[in-house]
Amino acid sequence: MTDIFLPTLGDLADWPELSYSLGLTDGLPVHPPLRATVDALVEGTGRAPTDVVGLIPPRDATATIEVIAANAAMAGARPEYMPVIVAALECMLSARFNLRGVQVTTHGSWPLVIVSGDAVTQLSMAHAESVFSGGGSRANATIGRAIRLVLWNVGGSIPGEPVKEVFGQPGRYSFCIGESPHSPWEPLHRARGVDAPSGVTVVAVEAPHSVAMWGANDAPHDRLEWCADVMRTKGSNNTHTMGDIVVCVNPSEARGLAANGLSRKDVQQGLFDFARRRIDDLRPTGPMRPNNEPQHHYTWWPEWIDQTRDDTLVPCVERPDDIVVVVCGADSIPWWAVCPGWGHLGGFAETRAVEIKEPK
Amino acid sequence: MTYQLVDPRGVVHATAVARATRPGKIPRNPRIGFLINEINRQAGPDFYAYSLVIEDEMRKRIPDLEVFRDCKPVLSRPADDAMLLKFRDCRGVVSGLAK
Repeated sequence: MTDIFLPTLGDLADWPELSYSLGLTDGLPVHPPLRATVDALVEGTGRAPTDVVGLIPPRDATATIEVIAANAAMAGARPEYMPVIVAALECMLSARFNLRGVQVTTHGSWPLVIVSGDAVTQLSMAHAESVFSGGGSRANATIGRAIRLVLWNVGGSIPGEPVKEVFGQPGRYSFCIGESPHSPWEPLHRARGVDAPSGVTVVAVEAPHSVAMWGANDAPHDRLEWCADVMRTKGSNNTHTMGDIVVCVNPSEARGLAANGLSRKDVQQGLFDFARRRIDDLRPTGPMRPNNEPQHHYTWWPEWIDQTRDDTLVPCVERPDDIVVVVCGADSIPWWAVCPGWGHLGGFAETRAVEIKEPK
Repeated sequence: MTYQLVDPRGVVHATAVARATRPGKIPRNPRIGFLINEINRQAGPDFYAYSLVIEDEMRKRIPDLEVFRDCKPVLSRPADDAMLLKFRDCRGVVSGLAK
């Protein structure tokens, strides 16, 4: 292993082994960050190469536009993807996102990049079949990959030291989805208060947990309850500490809900009402089992949760808006998915506008 | 022919390190336990000393902190129920190896 990065390469055939010996990849092969490619990617941002986007934890190295572009080049991204990549990183660098914690925690969450609005079509992003595994789209795969490489190379997000993630999840290789343009509701970024044609939302979550509608009838509340049952699992960080959670609804299911008069807000409220567990179902057992005395109360729950009663139903998030509802997936049989969040410590959803430039 | 490359790693400025944000609330009079894993080392330079350093750091941020310490008789045996019950009023327990 060497850490000397030479600015020139005599033979491109040497790059794969060089990239591994320099530790510039997490194991998957990467393209060489060629100067000409990087310059084109910088141009895609419309910003100066020396502009600083932020310090990327846990290593706290400086991510300039050029450094981000070098990682995007290694990922195989195109210049028109750069505004999404930069906006996603800006979301992650907000203080409340706690990117340092998200990366080094034992939990298996990872920043999920959700692109919504016109950019999904403009960038030919996957939003339907296999959306969580890239859907065969270069944009999904390489935007997520560029983020991963920035966090790896600039942030030093290396397993073992300092990353303590117990199991990890495959989304760490690349975790980017497009919201369906066939949604009956407004695009996600607009629902979150960003008035722009396109937006990007980032939230740290686990891989999707599938929710099939086995046995559910057509009544909207029954279908919400089916999903809520997956949201409130005993081993989920959300169930114990709240935070944010992502719920995906495929287009046919979303249309069904909309036809029954449900808006995105109604779905959030319904899930908030149903995705609850009794307090006595959540407490530890055995000799350490706490009682209902205040010293045993969870401090991450809001004051309005009555922790003195065993039968209090505790929601898995603090507010309905903490449930990020995304319309995506194949427009076929009704299906849902739940991506539990990291919990109260961070990874909270952040949204930014993005402006896509026409490719040259 | 040579190919020009751009280093993707960025530059580290030593003074830039920041603490992770801690959005949780700190309760009043929190009681923290230190469970030292071997009684023979309770006065030694190892976990007991580390627990004092941790306690000092915590007191800077939580002035009304209460601390409770106990030690297991044998490193290789789990704490029995009677010992665990002594920690039941603690908000958190830091457990450490003796060395």
